[in-house]
Amino acid sequence: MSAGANRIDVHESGAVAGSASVPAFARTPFGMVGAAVLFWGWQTGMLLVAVPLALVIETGVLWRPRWVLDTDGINRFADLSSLALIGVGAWFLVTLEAPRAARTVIGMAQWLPLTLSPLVLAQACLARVPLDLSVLFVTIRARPETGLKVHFGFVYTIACVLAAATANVRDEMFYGGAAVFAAWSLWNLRSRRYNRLIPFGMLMLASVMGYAGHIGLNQFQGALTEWVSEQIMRSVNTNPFRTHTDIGQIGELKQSERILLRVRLPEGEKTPVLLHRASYNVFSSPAWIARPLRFDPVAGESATGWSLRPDAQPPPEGAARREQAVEVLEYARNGRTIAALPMDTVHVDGLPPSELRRSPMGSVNIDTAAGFLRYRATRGEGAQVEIEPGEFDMRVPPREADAIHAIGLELGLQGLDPVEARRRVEQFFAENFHYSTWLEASSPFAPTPLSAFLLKTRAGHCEYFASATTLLLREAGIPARYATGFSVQEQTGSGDYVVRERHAHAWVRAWMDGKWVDIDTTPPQWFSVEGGKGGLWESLSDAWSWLKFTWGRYQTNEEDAVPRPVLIGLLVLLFGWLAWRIFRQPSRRAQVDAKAIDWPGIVKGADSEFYEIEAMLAGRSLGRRASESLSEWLARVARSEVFGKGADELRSIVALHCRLRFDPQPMEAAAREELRLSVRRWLESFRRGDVGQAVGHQPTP
Amino acid sequence: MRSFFYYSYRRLSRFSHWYERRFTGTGRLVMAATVAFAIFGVDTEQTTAYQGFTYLVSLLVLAVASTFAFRTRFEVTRDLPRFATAGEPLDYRLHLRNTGARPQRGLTVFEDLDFSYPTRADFRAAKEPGAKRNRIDEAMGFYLWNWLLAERRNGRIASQEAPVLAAGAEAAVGLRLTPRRRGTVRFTGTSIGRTDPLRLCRAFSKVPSPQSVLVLPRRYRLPPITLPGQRRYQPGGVALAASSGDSEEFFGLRDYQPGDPMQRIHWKSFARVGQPVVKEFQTEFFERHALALDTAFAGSDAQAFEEAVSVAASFVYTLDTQECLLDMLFVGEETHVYTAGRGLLRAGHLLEVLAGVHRSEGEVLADLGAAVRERSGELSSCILVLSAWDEARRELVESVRRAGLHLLVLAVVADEIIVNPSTGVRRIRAAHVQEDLLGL
Repeated sequence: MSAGANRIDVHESGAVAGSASVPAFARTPFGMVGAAVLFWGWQTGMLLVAVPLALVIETGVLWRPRWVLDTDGINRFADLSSLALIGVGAWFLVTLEAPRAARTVIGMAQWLPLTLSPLVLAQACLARVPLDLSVLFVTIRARPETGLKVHFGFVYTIACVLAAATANVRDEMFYGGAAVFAAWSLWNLRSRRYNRLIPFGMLMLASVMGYAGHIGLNQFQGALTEWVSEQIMRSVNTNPFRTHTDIGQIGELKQSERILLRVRLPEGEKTPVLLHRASYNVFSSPAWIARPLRFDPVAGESATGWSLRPDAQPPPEGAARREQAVEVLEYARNGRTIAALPMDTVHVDGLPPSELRRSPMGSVNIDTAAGFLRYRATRGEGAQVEIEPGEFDMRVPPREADAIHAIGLELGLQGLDPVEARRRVEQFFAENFHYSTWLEASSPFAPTPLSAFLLKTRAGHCEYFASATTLLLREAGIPARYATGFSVQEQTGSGDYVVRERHAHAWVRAWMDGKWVDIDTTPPQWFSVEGGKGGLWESLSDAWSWLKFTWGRYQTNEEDAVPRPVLIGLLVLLFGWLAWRIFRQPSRRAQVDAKAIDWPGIVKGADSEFYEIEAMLAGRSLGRRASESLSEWLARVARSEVFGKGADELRSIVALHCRLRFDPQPMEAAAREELRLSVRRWLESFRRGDVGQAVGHQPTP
Repeated sequence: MRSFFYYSYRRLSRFSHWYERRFTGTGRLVMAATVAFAIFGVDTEQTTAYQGFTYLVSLLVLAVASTFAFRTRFEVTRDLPRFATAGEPLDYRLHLRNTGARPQRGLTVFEDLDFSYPTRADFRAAKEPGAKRNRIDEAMGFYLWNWLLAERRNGRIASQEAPVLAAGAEAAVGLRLTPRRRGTVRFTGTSIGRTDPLRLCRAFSKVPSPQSVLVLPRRYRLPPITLPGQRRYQPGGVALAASSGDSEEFFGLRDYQPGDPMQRIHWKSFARVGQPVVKEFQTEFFERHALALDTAFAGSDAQAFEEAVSVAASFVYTLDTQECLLDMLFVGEETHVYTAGRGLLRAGHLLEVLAGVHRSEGEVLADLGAAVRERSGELSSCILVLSAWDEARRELVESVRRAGLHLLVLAVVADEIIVNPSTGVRRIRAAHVQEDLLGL
């Protein structure tokens, strides 16, 4: 066969070209969009809304209107959708409980099928062409087109599946639905180049890969989250089961200036205040471990708060409680944190709906939505939260025993009254030790770093002091635990206290007089030794942190700074203004455009005032017919008996108008002004009734 | 900061060019959906969107993987005219021959135009004509970048689906080129795209097929113009003299008069009558107009110059050169004069010249004035098209006018520049050329 015989022309045989490929802008398959809406309704429990919406969308295709929407009209529908989306977002932001931002985003996504419904209805009923995706983004409408034209039903189907995902129904049905809708959408769009088994196989294979992938992804993220939280907990000493100390590390101990908490203390409270996170009772250098390992739920709810000591005296209510309480604001990346609570905390409140659990060692674990959380700790007298001392609280590790025993003998701790023993131990550290973050290699004569600290160097950081004090108290027969948390003493200009990462502290919790008491033997200079350098970077970082926490405080506020009705009122006003702006804009833009269009001489004189007369007469059933020239029309108007003098003047106006309109020479200013004035004059007298009184009321012959 | 934006935009443009070719509309929609599902599925415990994400990623991976095996050869030729006009779509046909052994269907044809990204200096020096941007847009220069890119690309050709191609067969594909400005549009090759079975992304086979088309300047409609001036004696007679010596039309014989050149003696008649007889030729009187284009640099307003070229092109195209001569003058590295009419060059030739005119530096205005004055004896009138309005140009107009020429001076200027009407210069606003030309 010759090449000529094989030649196929795309213009002449469109059918052949068409068979080679699917039209690029296919419509959605019948029933798919409705099914997607139903799927969304089923997953989110909003079937009552979904069923009518699906019916309207699917039957909308059957409606054959006489007119179709132009781009401007479609843009208005898009604007309506945007407004609905913003409105829903604003409503959620005002009405939802903390953490508002995250819940608002999820809520907005969940309502997407509703907020986008104006646009999908416009596409189904009124727009017969695929929409350019620029309709969705006001900012890129200025560009003529994004180059991506699509039947909006496809976008809407994606939105429905995405909205269904936010319901977080964790069975296999969501994945199945998503795969079905993807395949349903893509099947008609597939390339006809291939046997249909190939795309079918691809869709099947993708389903299998995606299924394995999502299970793997979920597990991977679980493992990753666990690892990351372990790292974070380790860095701020909040693993309630095990803490890894820097005992034995060599060199400068460096800690970050990052702000972890903002704390509000009651009026007149003496600082430093120790905020406890976790206690440990087994020392296995360099780590401290907590035994036993378990967390038990604490009864309570958001409204009433959580009582850590049910038998304790109930705290005062309302403002009095708030004034006495220690308030802590912190950011919990994944919604889980170990609360930083002062000694003798009996009641925790101010949290959003959360689950609280506590360990026998006094750690309180909060599990709630991710984001900022704020809680208030009320202190009071009552029974102990922590379990009473056991055998672990008396053990001195064999490797440390020699040094501890030697110091015990030196201080004469054996058999001493606990109060006196505590005094001696505190005095021993205060007189013989100093604080240092610079750690040298332990002496070859000391078996352990802690022994070297006690016997040789006599300098170290808080972990050394706390560990050594714990073991020495145990040597004196006082059950003691190694406690970690934060020391609150840096006040900001606003009166709040900030707790930085370097304010993490370790001290001793000892059992004296039938209760646990905090004993801190670290020399008080530690705070100034570790003081920040106060550079520009720190100021910037603090400013950023302040902004973050201010936002956090706003988010977690129980009482809105602005009363809710006022806020809603403001939102409605804002919304109305926005709506007015958007819906007013196109008409104004159109006017501007009309002026800006460079009509190449075709409508020269389009600004002639004569058109007002034409419109006025048209309103009185004397309009110019399409077939009539100006002079013919004028003659007809003049024949109507009412136009005596008026018709003459009209003739001269028409003459001037024709000059403006058709004379290639520009009209001189005087003539232009004359036209303007005479039209005004004519219109005024017409309105007054001097001319054309009976127009529109002519007696029928 | 400007260079940061420059490099970012260049990368972004490269990426988006690649992305828009590599992925079909469906593919881009799937990609957008994947991103949306990824955003909402970041926390796999909060929503189940990550399940949709993994499915879509699997689809895209399979689609990309299936594009690797596309090794078919094609041959490409184009039926391309020599000229196009700026702003006017040009339809042409591309012949695609499948030289492979298997039939091909579902192919898309993309034209590759010669194009290089603007340099940093270009980006810094560029000024987007006629656009009013807010301060942020101006500082970021994104719109400027887009404009600059479109200017450099100078032409857009939408991709086109090719019909089914049997092995060894050839098919024609209709394509449409819309050039933006005068100059040359160079084709470097053609990319033949084949989609994967789900039509998400494309594989390409590139065929080099260099070719070019000259883009003539944009032209405007002119009102009927009667150029002033009278017929002038044209020494040397009909214009052909300019190219091949004296060849005037023979008029008759007359007696010799002292001073007649010897070469005009008609020797045969001399021999017959015994007195010297000379040949007489028709003395030519006709209109000859000059169209002088100002090519001098005047700040960074390139738009005014482009519009001035278009105005000149409009005159070239409109003036009836059947009955008159038109000299087109402009100064490049030297003074160029092209004469059209009465059997000399045609208007099309002058447009071709105008397609390649550039702005020059140096004594351009003085040279142009001198060239016009030099010809003032032969010219009936002169149309002077200026690409700016300043003191130097005012002097040029004065000097030409002093030479006794009838002048029509058009100054193409930005909207905000005022031209005093008493100078007799017509102001043509660069953004409203057609409107102002019709008011002439």
